[in-house]
Amino acid sequence: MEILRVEHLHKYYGGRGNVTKAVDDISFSVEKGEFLGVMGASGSGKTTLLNCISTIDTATSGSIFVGGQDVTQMRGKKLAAFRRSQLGFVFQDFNLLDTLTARENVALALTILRTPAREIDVRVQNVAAELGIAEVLEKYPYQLSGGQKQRVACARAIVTNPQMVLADEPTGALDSKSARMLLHSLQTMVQVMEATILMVTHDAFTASYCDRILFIKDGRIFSELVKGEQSRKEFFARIIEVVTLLGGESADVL
Amino acid sequence: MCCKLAFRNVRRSLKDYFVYFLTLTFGVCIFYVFGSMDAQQAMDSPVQSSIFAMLIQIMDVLSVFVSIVLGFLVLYANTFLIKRRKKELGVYALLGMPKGKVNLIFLLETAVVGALSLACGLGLGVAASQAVSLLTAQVFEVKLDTFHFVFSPVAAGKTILYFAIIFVVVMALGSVSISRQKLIDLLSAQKKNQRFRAKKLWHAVVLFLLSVALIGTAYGMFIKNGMRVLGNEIPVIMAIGGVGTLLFFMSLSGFLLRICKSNRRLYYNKLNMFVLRQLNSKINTTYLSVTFICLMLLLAVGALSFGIGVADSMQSELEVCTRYDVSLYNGSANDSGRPVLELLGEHGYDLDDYLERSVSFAYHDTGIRKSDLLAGCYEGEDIPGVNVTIDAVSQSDYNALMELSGQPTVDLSQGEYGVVALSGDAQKAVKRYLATERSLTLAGETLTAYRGGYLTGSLETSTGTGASGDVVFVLPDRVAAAIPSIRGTVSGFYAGDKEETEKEFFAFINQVGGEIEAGSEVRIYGATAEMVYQIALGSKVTFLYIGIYLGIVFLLASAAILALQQLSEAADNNQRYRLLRKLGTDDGMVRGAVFSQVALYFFIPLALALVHSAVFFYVMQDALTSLGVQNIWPSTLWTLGIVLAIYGAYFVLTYFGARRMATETSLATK
Repeated sequence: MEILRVEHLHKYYGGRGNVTKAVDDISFSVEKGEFLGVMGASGSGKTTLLNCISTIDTATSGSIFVGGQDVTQMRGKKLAAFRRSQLGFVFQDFNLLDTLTARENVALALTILRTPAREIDVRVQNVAAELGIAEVLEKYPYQLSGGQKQRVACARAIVTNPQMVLADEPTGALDSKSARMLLHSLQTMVQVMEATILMVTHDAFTASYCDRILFIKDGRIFSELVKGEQSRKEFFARIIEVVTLLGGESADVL
Repeated sequence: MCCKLAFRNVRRSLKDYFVYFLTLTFGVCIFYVFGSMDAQQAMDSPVQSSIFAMLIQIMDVLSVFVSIVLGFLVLYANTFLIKRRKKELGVYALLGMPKGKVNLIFLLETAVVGALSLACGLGLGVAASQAVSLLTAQVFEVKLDTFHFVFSPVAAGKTILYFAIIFVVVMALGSVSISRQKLIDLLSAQKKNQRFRAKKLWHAVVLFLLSVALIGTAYGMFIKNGMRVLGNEIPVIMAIGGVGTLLFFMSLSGFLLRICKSNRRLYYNKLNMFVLRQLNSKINTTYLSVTFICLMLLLAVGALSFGIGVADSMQSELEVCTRYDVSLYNGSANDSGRPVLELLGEHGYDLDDYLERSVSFAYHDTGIRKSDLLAGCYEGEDIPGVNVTIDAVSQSDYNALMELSGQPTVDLSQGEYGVVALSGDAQKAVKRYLATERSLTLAGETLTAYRGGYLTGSLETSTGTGASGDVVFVLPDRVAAAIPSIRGTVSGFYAGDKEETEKEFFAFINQVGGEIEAGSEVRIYGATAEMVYQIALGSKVTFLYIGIYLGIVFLLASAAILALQQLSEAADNNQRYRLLRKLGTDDGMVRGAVFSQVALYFFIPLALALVHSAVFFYVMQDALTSLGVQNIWPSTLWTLGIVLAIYGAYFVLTYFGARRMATETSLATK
């Protein structure tokens, strides 16, 4: 089943002879239960693409269908309602509320959905157990390691059973061990909890955990890789090849 | 270049400066209005002028106090502004601007805002003082034929001087604090603000219960002891209440959090959890200032309602004190029993030109102490005027006075004495005294009390309830004659047009009195009804203006501190609100959270202050009644009105400011 379909998406900044095409005619789709990676150098437009999909930013033209609904046609209150019920977010710098405990941070996603109070504790507990953070639920963010914080953020993203989880450089602020644990968690979310994840990253290792990768350059889709039956190591090697190609081409121009 | 930058900065950070500017303007305005009493319309009579001179003096002293309060407020506000703009200052320094220049920019900014608010405040003050002048004239019943523009150069000069001093001190302190900062701290100021350490919640619950117990104890002690044993207990009660209040604010958020946590439905409802956690996270840095604000509000409410209450009172007692147009008495050290008329006659003056009807009489010194006679009859333990002896008048003098002034006469039976009680307190006490059989031995005769209860005839016009106090005996003529007489007195009514005669009489008695008293022991005292009335009015106005002045200044200070604190907190919370909105929180829900947060900060201290002051006025009831305050509702309503107007305005302003910061930034930009 198709969860996300992006059609001819454009996002331009500036105007009058000074137009930056951050996203320039991108189309793709994501199936349910897929772990999609979007790779690109900084400035390639991958974060803008994510912002458009997550309705934090508005597209200049094109359509984005999430679960059959065109989010580019939504305005104001509907957008907020869409975000809280259909999407989950994982940010690079965790973005946990430092005044709330881990449990409360996860519960927050449910309270803004006005979930009945009696359901909240159970759901938080289940997600936390799945992601291995059940023991640290009563702690505050400042008492958690980076990896734990990011897994709490994952729990917050998934606890509402969203159509899709959008992750923006989730390993960007983690050391390699924590990053690996987090990526396993994301895989768990996809495989066990049947989540659909769209992850933006510029790190090849992180990307190698995905099922499929879109490479973006200068606002356009440059290439696409599917993991298929390959092992993660083989997939990683192929990613590196494409990344080299990406960088190499720009070197040619210079 | 610096000037340009400073001006542009002020314009750009107008929103940051707005509350600061508004508070300063309002402060300057109030300061000017109450400092410009000297420019008010010329008063009608010498009595009014002298009262007014006193009022001006009191306002002068208060101004110094108020300027100190405002000075601290400006200092506080400035510290906040520096904090808000640390990063900007850091950027200047990073770009290689010398510290002196960074300082200069900030100094110029402070100066610009200061000068602007001083100008606006003075303008507003001059406008407002017109209204106050009209009000004063109305209270003193001065007829204004034409409207005069009132302006006091002295007050304006003083306002400018005081605020200039405040600004210079604040600027100096500000620049010291800027030059002490390290560049790295300036640049990373925002991150530093957000450090947070959680505390155990059960501590808060214990502290909260303790605080409630302390406040309750203070209330209990205060209500039980009343104002009677004030001396030693009041500092203890204040200390207990103060510590209780401090602990209350220290633990309230933790306590609320604990309570809400045990009710999942409440806790998980919308953003309640978030709001409570926000509150709890900040309380460690704010509980001191919130306690301070609560106490200032208490002062504000107290000053306002007391001032307005007293201004609204004092009519009933006045009637007793002004029954005759005029009374004069012989207040000489020796031989004061000689009638005043005789003294005047000796010098060749008589009062016939001024007085149409009068009665000349004397008091008799019984030597009986009020505290002995009425022991146990007053409600409290002590008796007003412990060492006062009770004077007596003869029955025929009493009845002559009563006939003169149209009050009921008394008909004592053989061997009876009457007791006149003038004030409400005294009437209650005498009633209790007369409830049992009471006999009195005077000049060798034993008298029994008159059966008709206490008497209420006023014997003279005076500024209090009379030089003889509020209790006087009425004795059979024979007994009275046997007792030495003191204070020969005359009470009477003017002839002809009262206003005219009053003026003439006043001039006459001043001149004659001086003449007679010069070089002799003789002293003549007295009061006219008009004078008593004016003095009463004067003290009313004095109380009213002191109350309003202090009340508004305290109110302003507390509201401004809260507003600055909340606005700066809203800026700190910007990231948190952005996250909430990214996660898809309704704008309505975010607004609700901002509202709860600001409202809790504004109205919990106010609520506690109101409860404190309610208890205070409950205990003060008696004292207020003796001041003539009969009905406390008008003053209460006025006070609440003023508080809600000023405090409410700051609340609304703060809420909208905080809401704008929380909901209006774009989500897409980092």
